[in-house]
Amino acid sequence: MNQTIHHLKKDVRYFRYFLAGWFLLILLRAALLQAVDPTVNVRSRFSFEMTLAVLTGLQLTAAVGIIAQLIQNDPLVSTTAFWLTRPVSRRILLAAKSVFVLLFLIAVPLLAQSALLLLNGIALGDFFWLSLESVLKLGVLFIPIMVVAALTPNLSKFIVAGTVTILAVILGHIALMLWTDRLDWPKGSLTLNFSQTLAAYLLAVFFGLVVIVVQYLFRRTARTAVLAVLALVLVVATASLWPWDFFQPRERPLEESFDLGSVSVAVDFSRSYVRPGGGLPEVMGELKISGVKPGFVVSPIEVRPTVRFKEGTAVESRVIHSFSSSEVAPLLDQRHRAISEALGQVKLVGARPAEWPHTGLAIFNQDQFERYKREPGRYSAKIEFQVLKYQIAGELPLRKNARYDRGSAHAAIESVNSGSRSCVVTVRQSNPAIPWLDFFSQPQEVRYLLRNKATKEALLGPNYAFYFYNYTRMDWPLGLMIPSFRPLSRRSTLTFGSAEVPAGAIDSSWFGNAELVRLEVVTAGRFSRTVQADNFVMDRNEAR
Amino acid sequence: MSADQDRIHSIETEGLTRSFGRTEAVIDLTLAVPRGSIFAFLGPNGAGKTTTIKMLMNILRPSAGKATVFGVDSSRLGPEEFRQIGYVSENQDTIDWMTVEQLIAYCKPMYPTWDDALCGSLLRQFDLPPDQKIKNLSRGMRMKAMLLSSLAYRPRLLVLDEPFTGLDALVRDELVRGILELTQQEQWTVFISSHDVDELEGLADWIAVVNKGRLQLSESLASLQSRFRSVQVVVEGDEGLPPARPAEWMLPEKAGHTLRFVHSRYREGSEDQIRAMVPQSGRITAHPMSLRSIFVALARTYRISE
Repeated sequence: MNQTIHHLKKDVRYFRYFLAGWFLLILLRAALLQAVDPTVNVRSRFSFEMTLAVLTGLQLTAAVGIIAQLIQNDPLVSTTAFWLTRPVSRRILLAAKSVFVLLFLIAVPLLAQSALLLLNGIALGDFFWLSLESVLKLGVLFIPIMVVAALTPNLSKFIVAGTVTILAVILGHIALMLWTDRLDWPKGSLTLNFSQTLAAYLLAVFFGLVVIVVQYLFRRTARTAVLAVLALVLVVATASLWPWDFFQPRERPLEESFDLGSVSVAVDFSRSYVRPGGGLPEVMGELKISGVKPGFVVSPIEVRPTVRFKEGTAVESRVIHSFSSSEVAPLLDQRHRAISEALGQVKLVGARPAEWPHTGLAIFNQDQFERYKREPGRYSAKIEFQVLKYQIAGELPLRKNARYDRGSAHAAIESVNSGSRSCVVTVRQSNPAIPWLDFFSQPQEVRYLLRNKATKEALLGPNYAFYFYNYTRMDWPLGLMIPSFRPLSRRSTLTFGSAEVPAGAIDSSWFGNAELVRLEVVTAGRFSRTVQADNFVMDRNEAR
Repeated sequence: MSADQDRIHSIETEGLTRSFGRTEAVIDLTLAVPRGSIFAFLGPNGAGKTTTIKMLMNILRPSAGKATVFGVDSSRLGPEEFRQIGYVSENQDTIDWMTVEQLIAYCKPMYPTWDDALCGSLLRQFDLPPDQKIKNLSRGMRMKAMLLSSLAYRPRLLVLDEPFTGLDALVRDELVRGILELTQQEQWTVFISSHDVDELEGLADWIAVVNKGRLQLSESLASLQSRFRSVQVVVEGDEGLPPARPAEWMLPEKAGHTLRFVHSRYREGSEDQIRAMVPQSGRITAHPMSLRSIFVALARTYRISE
C-alpha cells in the first residue's frame, strides 16, 4: 500500500498542473450547468450548447492526454524504462495508475456531478443508479484509452493506434449493419438496442481491464495486442448482434377495466403514400382503431407486416413505433378522451383535431421497393399495441412558488401572467432521468394543463405533447461526462389559451379559478391483433 | 549468510540465446560472473552485450537457454532481487522532470538498505546540484545522478551497460574511482560492458569478450595477462610466414627480418615451439601485454577470421 501511494505521489507531482486544469474544466462545466438557463431564448441556448461542446472537447482532449501520458511515463512497451530495473512491482505500478484514474478522472467528476444532482433534489435511489451509470460510461471511455496507451511505447504511436482503432470500430460497425441488413437480421427494438449497448459496454470494460492487467503483469505486447483485437471484435459484434433483450419490460396483464373484446383494428391503404424524406421507403396507411374504452389510449409499438404479391412472393418487414411519434388520428382522439377522463370528464377547450391521419405500416429496403412499388399485393400484419392511460401526478394552485415534488422530479411555478383569453405560466423543473436504468419506469409523457373544476373544463398547453426528458444523448459516453450533460433544471414557458379557443369560452375569471395539473402517461398493458388488407400498393402514385 | 550469498557466482548463463526475427543477437552464451569480481564484458558495437544484459535484467526474454542472477532465473527477477541490483545504462530512460533531490526522494523508499550518509557523500563526490532538474544536466552529470541512485543502497550487484560512452576523461575517471572505492570496500560484484577497453583498464579483474553474439573468452585478467605475449622473432633469412601456424599465434606479420605475432597461450617452452616452427629464427622476445593490446588483438583476429 505504501509503495502504491509512493508511485501515486510521483504521478500526482508530475501531473499537478494538468490536474489543476482538469479540475477547472469540471468546475466550469458544473457552474455552467447549474447557473445558466439554456431555455431563456434561442441565443442563450446556442451559447450554452457551444460552450458545453467546447468544454467537452477540452475535457476529452485532457482526459486522453493525461491517461496516455500517465501510462507511458512508465511505459510497458520499452526496454529502456527506468522502472524496469528498479524494485517496482508490476502489480503495484498497475495499482498506482488505476488509483490515479479512479481518483482524479472518475471520482472527482463524479463528485461534481453528485453535488449538482443533490443540489437539484435527486432521490437517493436515482442518485445511486445514475452514479453507477456514470462510472460505467466513464469506464467505457477511459479503459480503451488505457489499453491503447499500455500497448504503445510513445504518444505518436498511441495517436496512430488510437486512430486506427476508432476507424476499425466505425468500419466494423458499418460492415455489420450492412451484413445484418443483407441477411435480414431482425431489427432491434428500442429496448434491445439498450440491451446491446449495455452488453457491449460491460464487455468493453471487462475485456479492457483484462487486457490492461495481462499487459502489466506479463508485458507480452504482441500477445496482449492480439487479445485486445479479439476483444474489440467481440465488443463491436455484441453492439449489433447481442440477442438477449434484458431491458424488455415484463409483460403486464391488461387492466381488467380495459375491455379488449370491444376493440377492433383495421388498416386501409386506399389513400396511402410513401413517407417523404430520406431513409428507407415507409408506406403510410390509415390505422383504424375503434371500440377503445374512454380513458385509455391504444398505441401501436410494433408492426410486422407480410405483403404477398400475385407471383407468390412474400415480403416481410418490421416497423417500430414510439408513443411520441404516433400523434395521429385516431390516437389523438383517444388521447383527448383519455385526458378528459383522467381529469374527471372535463371538456377540453380548444383541443385541436388530428392533422395527420396516416401512420407507418410497412417499411422496405430500396431493392424491394423498386421491384414491387407498382405491384398490388395482399397485406397482412401482426400489430403489437400498448395500452396507456393518463393519471394526475400533481395539482398545483396557479400561483408563484407552488411546488410539485416526487422522488427526483421537481417543478415550481416561477410566474403566472393571465389575461382575458390566455395565461402564461413559467415552470422551472428538474428531473435527472436515468436513461438506461430508469427509462422504463419513467412516464412516457409528461403534460401540463389548466383545469377549472367549477366549469369542468381544461386547457391544453400550446404543444400537445410536452417532453421534459432528454434522451437524445443517452448512448453517447460523453453524455454523462463530468458532470451530467443533460441540463439539470430547465424553465418551461407554458402558454394556455390560443386562437383555437372559441371567443367567449375563456375569460380572466376562468384563470382565477384554475389550477395547474401535471399529467403522466402510464402503461396499462399490451395486446396484439392481426389485420389484413387487399388494396395494398407500395407506391400508389406510381401505380396510377 | 544466506544460501545465495554463499554462491560463488553472482551471474550464470547457460546456452543463452536471443533472436530478433532472423537475426541472432546472442548465441549460446555460457558464462559465470564470480562474486566480488569486477567483470568486464567487452565486445565491439553490435556484439550482443546490451542484449545479454537486458536478458540478465529480465527486460528481454531469452529465445533459448537460461540465465540466473543470485541463483534466481532472470525471467523471474522481481522487486526482491532488484533491491540488491544497481543498473546504469547509456540507453536507460531517466526521470527527466525530477530534480536530483526529487530523484533521490523517489528512489529511497524503494530500497530498505538505502544509506543516507553514502548518498550524501556521493552527492558531494560527484558534485551533483540537488535542485537541478535531470533534463538540465549534462550527459556526464546525468550518468552520475543515475549512478548515485544505483549505488546509495549498496547493491550486491552493479550492472553497468556502456556507462562511460560519450563522457570526457575527467568524468570517466571520477566515475571509475567512485566505483572502485565502493566495490573494494563492499565486495560488490560489478558487471560492466564496454566496447572501449581503455575505459576498463585498471578497473576490471575478470574479462569476457563477445563478438557477433558469441562468447570468445571469459577468464580472470591475471590469467589472461599471463598467457598473452607480444612476440618478436628475428628471422635470419628470406623465408615468409610459416605456412602451418598454431591457432594461438594471432595476427602474424613479417616485416623485413622480423616476424611479429601475439601468442595467446604463452608458457614455458613456447620459445622452443617457435624455433621449431621457424627454423631460421634468431633472437626471440616476448613482452607482456596490456588489456587494451590483448583486446585489440582478439578483436582484429575475430574480424580477420570472419
